Amino acid sequence: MAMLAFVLTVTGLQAMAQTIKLPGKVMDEKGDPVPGASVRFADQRGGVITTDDGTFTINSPLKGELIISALGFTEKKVDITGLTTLTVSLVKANKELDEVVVTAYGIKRAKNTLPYAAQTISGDEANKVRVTNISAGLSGKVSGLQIIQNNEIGGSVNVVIRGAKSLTGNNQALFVIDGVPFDNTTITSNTNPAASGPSTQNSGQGGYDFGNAASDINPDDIETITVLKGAAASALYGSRAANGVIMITTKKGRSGTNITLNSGLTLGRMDKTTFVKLQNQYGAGRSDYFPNPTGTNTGFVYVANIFGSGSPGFTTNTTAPRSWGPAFNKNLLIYQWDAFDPSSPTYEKATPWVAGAHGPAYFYQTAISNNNSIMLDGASAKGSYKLGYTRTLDKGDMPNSTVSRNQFLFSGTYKIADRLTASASANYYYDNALGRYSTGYDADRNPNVVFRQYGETNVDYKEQKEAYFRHYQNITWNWTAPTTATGLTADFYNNPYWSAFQNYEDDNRGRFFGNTALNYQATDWLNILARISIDEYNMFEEERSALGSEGGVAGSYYRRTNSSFGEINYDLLATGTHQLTSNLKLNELLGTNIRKDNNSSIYASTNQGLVIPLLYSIANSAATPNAPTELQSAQVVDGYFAGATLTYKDFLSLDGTFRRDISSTLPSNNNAFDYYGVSGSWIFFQHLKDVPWLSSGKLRVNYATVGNSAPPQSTYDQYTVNTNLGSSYLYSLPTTKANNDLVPERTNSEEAGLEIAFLKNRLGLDGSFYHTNSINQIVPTQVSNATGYEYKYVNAGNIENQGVELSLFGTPIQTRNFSWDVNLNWTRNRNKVLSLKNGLNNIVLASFQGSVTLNATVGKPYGILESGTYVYTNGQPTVNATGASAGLYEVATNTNTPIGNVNPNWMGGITNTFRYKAFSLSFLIDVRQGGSVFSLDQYYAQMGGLLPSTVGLNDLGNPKRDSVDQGGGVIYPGVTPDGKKNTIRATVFSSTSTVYPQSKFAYDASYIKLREASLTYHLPEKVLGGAQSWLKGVDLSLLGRNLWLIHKNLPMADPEDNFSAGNVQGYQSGAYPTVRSLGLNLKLKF
Amino acid sequence: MKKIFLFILPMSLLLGACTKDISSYNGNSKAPTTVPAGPLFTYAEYWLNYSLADCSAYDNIFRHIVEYWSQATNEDVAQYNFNLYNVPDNWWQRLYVNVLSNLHASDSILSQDVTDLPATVANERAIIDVLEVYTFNTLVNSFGNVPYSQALNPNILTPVFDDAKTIQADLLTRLTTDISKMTSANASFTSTQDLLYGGNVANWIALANSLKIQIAMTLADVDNTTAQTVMEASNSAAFQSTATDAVWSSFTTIYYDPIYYSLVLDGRTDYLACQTLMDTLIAYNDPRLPTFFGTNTSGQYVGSPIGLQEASTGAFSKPGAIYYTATCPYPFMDYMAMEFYRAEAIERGYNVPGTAEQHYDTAIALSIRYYGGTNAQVQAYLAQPSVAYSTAGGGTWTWRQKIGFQKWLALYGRGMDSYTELRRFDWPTMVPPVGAISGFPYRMTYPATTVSEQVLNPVNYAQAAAAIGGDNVSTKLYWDVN
Repeated sequence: MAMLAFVLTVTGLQAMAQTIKLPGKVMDEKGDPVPGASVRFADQRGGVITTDDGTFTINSPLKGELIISALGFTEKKVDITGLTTLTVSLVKANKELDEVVVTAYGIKRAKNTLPYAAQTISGDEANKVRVTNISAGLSGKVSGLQIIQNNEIGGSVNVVIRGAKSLTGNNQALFVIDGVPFDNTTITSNTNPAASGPSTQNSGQGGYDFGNAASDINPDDIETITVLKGAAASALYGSRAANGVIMITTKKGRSGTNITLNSGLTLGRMDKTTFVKLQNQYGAGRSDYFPNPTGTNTGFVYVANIFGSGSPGFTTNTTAPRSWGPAFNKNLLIYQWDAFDPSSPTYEKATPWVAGAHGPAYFYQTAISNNNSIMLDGASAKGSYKLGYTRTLDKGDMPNSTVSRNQFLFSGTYKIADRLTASASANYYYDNALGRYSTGYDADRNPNVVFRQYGETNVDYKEQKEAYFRHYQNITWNWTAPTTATGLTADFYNNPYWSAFQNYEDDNRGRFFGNTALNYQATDWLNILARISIDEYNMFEEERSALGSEGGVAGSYYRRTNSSFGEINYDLLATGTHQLTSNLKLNELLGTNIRKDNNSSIYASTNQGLVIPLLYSIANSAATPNAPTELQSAQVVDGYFAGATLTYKDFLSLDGTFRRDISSTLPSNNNAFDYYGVSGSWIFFQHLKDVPWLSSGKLRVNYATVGNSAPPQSTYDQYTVNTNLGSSYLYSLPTTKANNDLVPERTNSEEAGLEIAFLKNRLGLDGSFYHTNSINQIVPTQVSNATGYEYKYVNAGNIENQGVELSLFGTPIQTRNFSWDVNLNWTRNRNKVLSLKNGLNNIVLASFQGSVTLNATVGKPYGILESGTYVYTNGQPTVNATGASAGLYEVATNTNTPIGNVNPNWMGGITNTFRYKAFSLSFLIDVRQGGSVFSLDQYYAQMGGLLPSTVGLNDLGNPKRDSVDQGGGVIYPGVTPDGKKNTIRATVFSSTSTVYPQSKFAYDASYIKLREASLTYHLPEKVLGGAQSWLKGVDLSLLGRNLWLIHKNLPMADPEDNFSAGNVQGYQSGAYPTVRSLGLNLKLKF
Repeated sequence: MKKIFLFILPMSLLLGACTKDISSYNGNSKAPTTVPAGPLFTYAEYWLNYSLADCSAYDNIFRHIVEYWSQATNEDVAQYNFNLYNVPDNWWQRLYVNVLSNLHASDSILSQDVTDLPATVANERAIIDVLEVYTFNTLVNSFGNVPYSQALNPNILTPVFDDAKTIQADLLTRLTTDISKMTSANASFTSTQDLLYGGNVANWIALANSLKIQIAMTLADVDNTTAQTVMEASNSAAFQSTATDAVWSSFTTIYYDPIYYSLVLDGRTDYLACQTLMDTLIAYNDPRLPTFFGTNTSGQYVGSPIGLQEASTGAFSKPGAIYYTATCPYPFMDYMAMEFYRAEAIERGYNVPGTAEQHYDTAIALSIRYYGGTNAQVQAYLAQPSVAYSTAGGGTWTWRQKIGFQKWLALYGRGMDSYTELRRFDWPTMVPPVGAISGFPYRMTYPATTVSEQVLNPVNYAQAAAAIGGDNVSTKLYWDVN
């Protein structure tokens, strides 16, 4: 890019007085004001700083030179001799190493001198393919950052920087918008107060993922995102910053009036490689014994007098619900589920025994996402403003699922006086959802349980759809006992369309996020900011199960939860700058922060079912409803902090920070904790300026500690008041034992980093090595129930995380019309549980179905899956040699053998951007290498008889499913207890038990994904009519997300899919397939 | 410069105001931090009742082990596949957490009670202890060695497992102490606090004595001296009539019977009469049959083989009509069972009044009448040579077989009690379930899934498993020597 010389405008001449007031303005190349720029004399003391609109006034001696500098811009010297006004245009400093980084409390610093790791990407970069949740847009773009997202509509995104540090607490990064914390609670049915223990939704017991609260952030309003990775960078934010900070800087009002319109439409379809493939040779059935008159067992239910016809007939085993039944044979006519549906054209008719023509994939539909936004901004000498509205409407790939989002924003600044600026910002978000995806083993509402675990392959889902829509009844394939008068009910599973259209949830959340602030430039060197900010939301969620669903009347219900969250922050912040000597500069910071959190919720449900159909109210309860469950908690943290930065000749800098927090949630005698950070950086390039191939170079090291307090109400026991039993009162102890001896948690971290660039900044590297120890963690650890409790709060453990993160950028080709940029991020984190609490060797993080647990075990990485495995002989799985189970695997009785580690070996992302004239093509490949995921879907599918591996021919050329004495069965690889190779043929049949142990179903969770791809056409200015045109820009983009799952090892599912964000990962049950989406986006700037 | 204070002053005032008593923000206005002792006791009683009465395949599978009921859909549990649905974990968790922990908490609140009369508190604490003894005894009879001396202490997160024999000896000692502390003239829990006896101390004394006999007689095959001593000492104070029977009637239309929940509210049709019991009832012309079970859709009494999955549940008998009510009472401890102990004691040569036959007849009669039978039906049943004490089993049965057989029938609906007696008498012999994954289970394995002792308390678990002879269902408890 050509460099522009500064513009010097002389508008008059005046030479009478000794000094005059010289007004001026500092602008960037585009003409936008540069606030905070330093204007000082080259040869004498004194100087000023520009205000928000870039203006300044300085007492001019009418001669000499002014030095104008601003972060991110190349410094300028201006001769002011004879000038009465001054307009200076600064040129943006070149490339990444000279960027401005917004650090804690919104303090801008040159990345050049930053002594800790911080990576910045632009809002446009994060939102390249129009994500609804900005966290998802960070995947693969920042080193050290692990993003895990699931395939549920509006689902939460796990955002973890440099590995999990807390055993059971929050490991999510803190989100901060323009200096103000923005709540990012992962809201799931977990937070449903009716659930006991720490997890139900995220351990696969059913429930919903309502998303992480940071998804409210409006992607269109983001200027930059800076990821502060280590504690040294974030320590000023207090205890919550131990997990790193995602700092978001929103767009600012620019001069003039600017309008940006954005409109996009995206369509998505399930990626079939992440969905089940069912065997299609055998239909419904189990090991059933059916007393046919002939004494033979056909696998069908014999009915002597079917439909009163006087003749016998065979019906499907509708209750199986498994597919170990008779082989398909189109010449065989069987009365199937549809024969019992009076509205069906096949009512009372036997139909060919064949695999369902429309398998479970038929249930999934095209997802549609529509996104429209308008942003308006402007600025003048007195102030600036910004106004925006964004609406997103997502229709999921499951029937009857919609999430809509409305984001309103207004912010403004106004210069009350020369040195006093007022600002305010108000954001309102309104989310509305209907039919979020039910997760986990919730057979009533998550159809994937049937699709993937226990289904009948003869079911045609198109017919199920038609059956439901004929009369909106629960015409299920899973009749309880279809030939009896009372048996036309759903046994375990509803018609999936009934579940989708009758048993849906809905929720809405209104959120306000805003602040008012006064900024006072007290003197040339002192700035004071006072700010009050509020983040507050109310959520209403209701769930229903209609009368007519499985489970009888008591299976119907209505439940509602009203909850609210509120956080208020009071900040007072003074910042100062002193030029101590000509080479030594000191920046100081002093502040206080008071944070007050308030949470409350009330949950109520009907009891024993509903009375009036379709009336969803608590009053419509079959029995007297239980008392509602009410929760209330608060937390107050008073913080005091200070910081100083000493810079020597712009190439050495030393930082120190200190903070003291007093938290209401700790025992009152031990509720204060201090933490501090020291960091330094050295721009060694300063001494190597004559090395031609080197463009920049910096070393940085730091050390910091961050403390953390306890969750609210964990220091004292609270009893539960249960619903009265007649006139008796029932109180009970909590199942989690409180602990009044808790001490604050602490994370100590060290980091060293190198930033270097070569070849005129065409190639650059930013790398860090870090090491953290998180000690005295406050954990509600699961304990032996013989203690009388299920959990107890303890200070436990020391987790170590260490890793390497690398960001590499390069521009292999750059010509006038064509350029190719590469951006690569690579992260390798290793963590290890060094110790737990007295005598404890293991903490169970989650217990799952299938006797699988997720653990933190001393000496091992955080997140070990334990379960059952084979009995090994000489390293080979052992099969039984004799008895009824001869030829089948021996499975170890204990279920605490490690079968997997959920942590990846490394993660990486590579973005390639090609620009040719007005076109730009960009794609991101996102890689995760290693880590484990357990699939309950596959584990149960072997019992469900759904797997293609259980059909076909065996080594003898006979059907595997035939009984062993008829030549069927297979020889399982392994050895007999005497160590000899197994030669015994055994059954593949396993309708109630499993042939393989759990360890077989712990898969490598690696993946390579073409995560994002975009092709954008920037309409050239010439076409628009040049710089004077009312239309300033038109971008047309073709966007794709998750287009191609290039590689994975987990069969029939997306290895990344999870129940929700949080510490519980590495387990799937009823998983949702990946949605591949392709969209079109139009952006207009006026 | 002065203007700075315009900002600093209000902020520091604010800060000052907030730091005064910051801990007070940690409260919860929606949950109590102190409660009276009574409702904790009530809660524990409710859960003990609920756990024993439950028939869920996930929580209480004793009805299937003793082959009263079969399971048409979750036949896995009838095939002894308990871990599939976390049965040992749930049983362990309910007894330790829901029952024992709340009993313990209730007692410790009472121990600091200065407002009630000491005599009342003494009665209440003794009553609590009796139920603690009952519950620990149930745990021992379910698992063998269990945490006892270090149990119920949240400061010991990995409690040791105590020797089963030592525990049961201590339980007997505790009951002796409890009985000595109870005085029927003084008050105890109120009628709404005590779901079992409404605070009637005399009844609790009778129950404590009966429980002593129950525990001691369980040990008779390995510790005849204790059994005899306890039986002879406590017999006269134990249940003498149905007037003191301990029958839970806690269930209401809100706190419904767990069986009612499964059969009616949950609409489960897969709990069937087991062929083993059904065929016996039919063969012995048992008047209890129509109370125990209903008929199939064709009006016949048909039992389903244990362990078999049945697609056509309509072809089999379902549980009787009494289980289709929300408020079905649960016979917890009663005179009937005591009469069987007396019959057994006489056969063992203990000094107990009456004859074995008298007590045997009385026990059978009590059971038939409990289930709505008439005196005529009692007489007709007892008159059958297959039932009459002298001729039962064709005259070849030992007293163990005769008493064991009739006690198995009489304990219908009380799965855990029946399971213990079945292991003691080794009679009648259970039919191996179709597809059984093991031989007859002589105990439940320790929790291994959701509240896994293997994971949470591994060292003590391993020691206990070794001490009892392996954590397997085939390991017999120390008192199960035959």
